Amino acid sequence: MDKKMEAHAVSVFYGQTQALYDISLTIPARHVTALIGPSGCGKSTFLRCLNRMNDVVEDCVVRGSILLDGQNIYAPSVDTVMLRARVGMVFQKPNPFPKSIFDNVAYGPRIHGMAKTKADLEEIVVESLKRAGLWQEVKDRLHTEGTSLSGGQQQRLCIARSIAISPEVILMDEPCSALDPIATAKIEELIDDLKANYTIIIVTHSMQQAARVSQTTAFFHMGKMIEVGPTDVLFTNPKNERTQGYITGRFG
Amino acid sequence: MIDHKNRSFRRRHWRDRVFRRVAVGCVGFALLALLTLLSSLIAQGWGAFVSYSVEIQAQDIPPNLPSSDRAAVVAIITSFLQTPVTSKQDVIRLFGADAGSQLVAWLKQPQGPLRLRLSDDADMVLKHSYQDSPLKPEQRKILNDLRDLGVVRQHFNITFFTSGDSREPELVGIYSALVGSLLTLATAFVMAFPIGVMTAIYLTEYAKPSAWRTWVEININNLAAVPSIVFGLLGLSLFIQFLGWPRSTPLVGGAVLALIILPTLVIATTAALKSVPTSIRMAALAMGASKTQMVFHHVVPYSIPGIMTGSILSMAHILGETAPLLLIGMVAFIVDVPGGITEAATTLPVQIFLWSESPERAFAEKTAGAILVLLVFLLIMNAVAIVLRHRHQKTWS
Ligand SMILES: Nc1ncnc2c1ncn2[C@@H]1O[C@H](COP(=O)(O)OP(=O)(O)OP(=O)(O)O)[C@@H](O)[C@H]1O
Ligand SMILES: [Mg+2]
Repeated sequence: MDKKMEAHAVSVFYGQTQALYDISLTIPARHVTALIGPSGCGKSTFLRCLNRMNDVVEDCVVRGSILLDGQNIYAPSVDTVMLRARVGMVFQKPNPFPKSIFDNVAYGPRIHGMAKTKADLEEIVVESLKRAGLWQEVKDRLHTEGTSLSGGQQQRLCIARSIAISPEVILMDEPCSALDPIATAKIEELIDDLKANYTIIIVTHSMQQAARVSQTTAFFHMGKMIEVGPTDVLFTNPKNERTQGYITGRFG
Repeated sequence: MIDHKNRSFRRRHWRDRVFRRVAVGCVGFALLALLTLLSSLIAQGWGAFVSYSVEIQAQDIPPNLPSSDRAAVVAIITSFLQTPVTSKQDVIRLFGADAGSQLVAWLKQPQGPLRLRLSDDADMVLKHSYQDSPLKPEQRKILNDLRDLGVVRQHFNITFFTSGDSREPELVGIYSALVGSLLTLATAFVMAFPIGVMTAIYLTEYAKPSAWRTWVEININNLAAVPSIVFGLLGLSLFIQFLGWPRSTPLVGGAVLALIILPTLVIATTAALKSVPTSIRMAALAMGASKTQMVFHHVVPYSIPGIMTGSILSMAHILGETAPLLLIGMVAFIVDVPGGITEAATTLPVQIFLWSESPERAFAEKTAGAILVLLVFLLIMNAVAIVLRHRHQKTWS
């Protein structure tokens, strides 16, 4: 199995407080990796390290190294703009731009100069909306505001937006936490389809969701990574007792 | 237990009711004050929009008029009257200072009836029929005769909107002052808007939090509270005495007003920028936008309604500004429409101030009329700001 990303001894500090301790984790390519753990254990923090969104958080210091295809993304020569074009992100709360559906999806291709002509751009937008499973619902109203969609549609729009720039890795921070079971099922299906082409890392609070969509699961607790392994093994036969406690619902 | 809850429940309701009544009372009082102001202004100022002329059909004009225009006017009028006029001066007194030139213009191009504007004193007598008029009894008699003959017509005072200041109340208009206001506001906007918006963008989006930034922000807030007359003094010494810009002009007036609105603009723009939620900024950055792309593709465009609202409100604020303009000499007597920002001009509120100092009774209604026009402009600007704010209010998901 290829390694897409590798974290080596990553520690993160918010000012004086340390949020992550020596995390080392390998993310396999074209694979869904789930990050689980109780609230405040540092899952989002770790996710933000992978596309350097922590750079914009005040007083946040990241130590250690993270490799993307063998290259350290924290090397001084790395441009965060380029990095984020390769590592996309979907947030917990849907956050479409207050622009049309079309412009939401077209934004990334536009700023990265991915489309030479208008037709190219339209093709990218349509293709992304189709892959995000939203095309059927919005094809007649591409020029209405993205914010006028329902929550689940907005989240799929955000996914369409992030896959429009053909990232290699997609980070998802609890993408279904604001959605109902039907919308959640749609997004899970989507994740399943996407893993053929993309490497996906998803933070989730739902064990069932982790079990359904991921192949690898990492369990975080109080800023440390306690256990990582194939999802079926981790859920049926956890080695660490804290993992066992968490997945059986005894704490967290 | 139940009893206790009931009691607290009743108390809460009672408080609710009291609060609501006080609030309604306050709103009612404010509305009443506004209504009083408006109705007294309208009562005083309606006369500014109405004026009187003597209207004479072409066939009624006697042939062989004297060559002097004033004498011709007198000849025309006396041909109508039954009783002979003892003094020509009595007729002249009833007509506006431009009646002679109105006749000359009509004679050159005799289309429709001849219209001769009445003087302000005659106008006042017709509007208010007051006793202590400066018109002599024989003059009032002539006026009454003319009215009985049915040649005195009331009409919309178009002159009020098409001419500039004048010594003669029947000839004054607000047009020059309006153009002066427009030029001054445009100058102020062009000077203050780019600087204000750029300052706000820099301070909120780029400047790192530091003691220096806090200091600048505090001082901008302080500047917003400085009385405007202080800016007038500053403008006098900086723009006129130091830089040598021409006094009494929209250039200097606009520069002073720009100083006055600059802090307000910065504060309004800052608020608009800050109202763009972090989640949108994060979305842009996570798409691979650079900081500047994030700011200029997202934060600034989404703030435009807020920035526009702030700009319009600050324009409305300086439209009524008077004191600092008095200091930089915009109190000149301006008859002609200013042709540019370096020509002497006056503004609407200054014009109002000047007229309010005039002793003639006719100026009182002109003052109130000009105030009404100013209020209408302010209302329009505020309405536009409100509509903008509602129409373009962003929903953020
Ligand atoms: N911007 C920040 N500034 C300071 N501390 C922060 C910041 N963001 C997170 N933290 C702290 O870092 C720790 C980890 O937070 P993080 O958001 O990564 O947790 P999480 O596992 O994603 O939790 P949740 O499941 O509730 O989202 C928490 O103790 C939190 O208080
Ligand atoms: Mg989180």
